[in-house]
Order: sequence, then C-alpha cells, then structure tokens
Amino acid sequence: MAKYIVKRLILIIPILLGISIILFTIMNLTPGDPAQMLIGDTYTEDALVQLRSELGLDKPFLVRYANYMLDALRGDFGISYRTRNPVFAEVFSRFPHTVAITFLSIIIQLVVGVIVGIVAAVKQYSVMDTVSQSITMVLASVPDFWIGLMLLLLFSVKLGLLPLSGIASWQGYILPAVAVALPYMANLIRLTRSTMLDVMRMDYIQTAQAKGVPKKKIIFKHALKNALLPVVTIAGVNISWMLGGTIVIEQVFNIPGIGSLMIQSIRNKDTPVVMATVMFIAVLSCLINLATDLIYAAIDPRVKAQIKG
Amino acid sequence: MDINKTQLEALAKEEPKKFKRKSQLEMIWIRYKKNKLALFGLAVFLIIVIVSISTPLFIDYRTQVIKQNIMDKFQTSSAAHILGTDQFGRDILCRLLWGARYSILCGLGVMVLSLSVGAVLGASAGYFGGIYDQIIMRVLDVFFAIPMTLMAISIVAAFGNSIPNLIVAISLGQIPKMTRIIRSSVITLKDQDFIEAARACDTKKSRIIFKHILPNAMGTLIVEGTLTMGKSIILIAGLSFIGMGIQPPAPEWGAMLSEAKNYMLNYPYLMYAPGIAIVLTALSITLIGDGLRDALDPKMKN
Repeated sequence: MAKYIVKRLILIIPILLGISIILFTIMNLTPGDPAQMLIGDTYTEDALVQLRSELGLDKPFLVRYANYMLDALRGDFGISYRTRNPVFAEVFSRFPHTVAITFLSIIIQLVVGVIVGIVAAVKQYSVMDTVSQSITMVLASVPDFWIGLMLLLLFSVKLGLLPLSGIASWQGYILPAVAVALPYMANLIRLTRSTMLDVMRMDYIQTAQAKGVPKKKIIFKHALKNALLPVVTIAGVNISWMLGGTIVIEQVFNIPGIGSLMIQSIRNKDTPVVMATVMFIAVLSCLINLATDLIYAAIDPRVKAQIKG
Repeated sequence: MDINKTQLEALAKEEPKKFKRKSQLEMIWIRYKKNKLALFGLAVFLIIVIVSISTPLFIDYRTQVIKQNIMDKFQTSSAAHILGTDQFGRDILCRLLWGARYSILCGLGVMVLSLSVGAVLGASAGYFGGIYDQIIMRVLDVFFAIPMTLMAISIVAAFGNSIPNLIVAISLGQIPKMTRIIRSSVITLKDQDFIEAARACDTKKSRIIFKHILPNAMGTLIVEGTLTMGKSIILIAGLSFIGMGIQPPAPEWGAMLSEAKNYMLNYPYLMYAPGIAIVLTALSITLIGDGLRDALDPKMKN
C-alpha cells in the first residue's frame, strides 16, 4: 500500500507541472504589460524599464515560468496590481469560505443522494422511485446558479428564514451549499440506485435471502458495501468539479470566497491574483482526485489485492 | 406437403415484401419512437431550434430586443408584453426568443468541435497505441484535472469573450473526456475480425480509422455529443451570468439572469422565464441523448 501511495504521489507531479504550464501560458497571453499595470499613471521610461527587469519580464518565457514556480513553491505568488498586497495572503484569507461551501455541499449530496438512491433501488418501480427518478432527471438539467437564485427567492425573500447574502452567520452557508449540491446530488442518486440494483441481483445476495437473513441486514450489511464503491469515485470527481461550480455560486450569494476574488481580479485585469486563484483551485482539485483514488484503493479489496500482487 | 412450382414462385415473390429489411436508421427511429420522453425532448428541441433560426423574421434586434424604453419598465404581463418588460422596458418574450440562438449556436459549436477533435485524437491514440497513445493521453490527463468552469474562465479571461472564444474555451474542457470515450471504443473495435480483414487487404491506416472504425463507434459518439451539448448550454449560461460569457445587452439567458438579479427583491418575475428556458433546452437535449442511447444500442438499456 505504501508503495502504491508513493507511486501515485510521484505520478501527480507531472500533472501538476502540466497544469501550471498550461495556466501560466494562458495567463501570459493576456494582453497588457504587468509592469505598466503596477507602475500607475505617472512614470518615466527608465523607471518602467527598471521595474520590468526587476520583475524579470525581460527574460525569456521559460525562465519566467521557472522563476514563478520557484517563488510559488515558497508561497510567493507576487503582488496584486490593485491592492499592492502579497497575493498569497489574499487568496488564503478567501479560501476557507470556498472550502466550507464545498465541504457542506458534499455532505448534503452524499447523505441525501445515497439514502434516496438506496430507497429508490430497494423499492424499485414504487411511487417513491418514480418521483425521485423524474426529479433527478430535471435536476441534472437545472443550472446551479439558477437553483441558487430560486432558493434565495424562496427562503430569504419570501419566507425570510435565511440571510439574503454574505456569510455573517453560519446560516449564510446553507443555501449556497444546497445550490451547489443539487445537480450533483441528482447524479449520485442515479448512480447509487443503479449500482444498488446491480448488486441486489448478485448471487450472494440471493444466497443470503435464501438463508433467511433479514432484509435490512441484507441491504446494509451485504449490498451497501459493494454498491458504495463507485459512489466514492463519483463523489471525489464531484468535489473537484464543484470547486469550479462554487465560482459561479459565490457570485449569486455574494460570498467573499476564492471565486469572487477570481472574477473580481479578472475584471480589474489583476493577472497575478487571477493566476494564483486559478492555480490554487486546479491544484486542489488534482489533490482531491488523488485522495479519492487512494481512498478507493483502501476500501476496495479487489484493487487492494491488485496493488499487493 | 406438396407445393407446386407456381405456389413456390408466388411465395418467393411475396417474401421480400413481407420481411422487407428495414434500414438501420428506420430501426433506430422505431426504437426511439417507443420512448415517449425522448419524443417529447425531440419536439421541444425542434421548436427551440426553429425559434432560434426564425427569430430575425419577426423580431427586429435593434428596435425590439435591445432598444430601451424606460417609460415601459417593469410592466407585468399584458397583451402587448406577454411576459412583461424588464428594467429598461424591453419586452422579455422578444429577448427570450432571441436568446435561444446563443445557446443553440454555442451548444452546437461545442458539440461539433469537441466531437471532431476528440474523434481524431481518440481514434488515432486507440488505433496506433504505444508512445503516441501515451503522449496524447498524458497531456489530456492534465487538461482533465482542471475543472471545466475554471478552464473556460481562464481562457476567456486571457483571450476575451467573443462567441468563438467561448466555444473553444468550453470545448477544451470536453475534449479530454470525449477522447477517452472514443479511444476505449476504438480499442475494443480494432481487434475485431473485420478490421483484421481490412488490414490484411492492405487498406490505408487513415481509411481503416475513418471508414471502418469510426462509423462503428458512431453510436457512442452521437450520444456523448448530445449530452455534451446540454452541459455546454448550462455552462455558457453560467459564464454569462458571472459576466465572463456573452455580454449584455445581448439577451443571452444567463446574461438576462445576471441583470435580473439586481432587481430580484422587487421584481422577482424577471428571473423565472430565462431560467425556465435554460432548463427546458438542457432537459430536452438530455432526453434526446438518453433516448438515442437506448435506440442506438438496445443492449445498454438497464
């Protein structure tokens, strides 16, 4: 197992490097001269040239990339054009909000998704099953930001139960998390239902039934363990996609997370901040994918056996 | 039994009529027809496409879609404005109908682009294998690791938000998945006998890929392409909503929602129509995709 983890960790390095090269290239193609952006409106030509060489902008592309990465590894992502503060501090202060929403939303979708999925599978063709099937089909086609707007209208404007925007209290996290969760939850319900149905048709379940094992025990002890394996994978993939989704949702609820910072910086053409936020999310989603694979290897005896053998 | 010659001839004549072999397209359509939801999706989608093509015939962009009439602002539904008017007094129904073309155009664009690039990359990687396959797949792994929304936002941030840029930006997020799917179906196909036969006849490699392998993988391609189109339409609306996609005053549905959000406390009705339009479009395409999946490959139906 240790060998496998090390192997996976080594494999992730080229992917992280690749991501950073792609994003660095894209961001470098942004029109506009960083030195000019930093120096402001009044400057002499000499000062501009000097600042450019201080920032290393006169060096070739690959050197600039290497410098950026070396600095980034030390936690130095440059200085924001707009606030003149170090970028890292700014990104880091916004980060917890985004993580909180993502975390809450993954809990919601796992709990609700798995429970509804199991019930739908166990009571196949029942009213409950049909209803959940139709709802999930529609939910998968609803944009998360529109769900967010509708939830906001219902719970904050009409009913006044939850705060309209911002995160002054913990309640501010509820609606954004639900809005992010719903479309992915639809996916999880479908998946749990279909894997559960597959597992319930297996021979060993029939054996258990023939032996007279109680139905509850069959579902929770025998079937669920196997049915949940693909769910883990999809949940992991979902988290990394959701990090992209929160960028949009943060705009709906005015949450000062990493996504708002990104959009605001794109509008201000504040490239170092854009670069850092994009990099942060990409690396995080990559690490989450790795974690999912490792968890999967730890819980699936078949994969475990493969790794050992 | 004793059958004389004339009877036999009559039977022989009759048989082709009775058991006339239906073409593959007909068979697909017969299976597709049985799925009522898929038919509903197809009908809705066709209406949306017809609307998006024909709007210029009865709506004038300058005077009816973007022209501001502040005097008429925030009118609720009436005979003159069936869905009411927005904060600038523009007719919401006109804007909504005009907005269909952005979603359909971008959705189709993404589907065609990601399908064709994915088909070429996936088919060649799967067919040739070896180091070529390794390089393509490892590079795509990197793209795959970047969340789709993030990729699109960074490309739009760097190159600006014209429609072609948007299409490329969203396609880049779809290509890795498309390539993987096509590659895996090519790998299963390439060891089958008819490909072996083609190879034995010394057929050119490009001909084997494009004439023999890809048509057989077509079913998967079409289904994936359709589902991709639905997702892209939602994504484009999301990008426009956060100001990274199609810009106001163009009546793209996401952009309309973005403007409507500022007035949600007093005029929530502004947010219903564009949202429902997005859901209907995306849902109809998903239904078509699901229907096609079952119709093209009855074995895959669960």
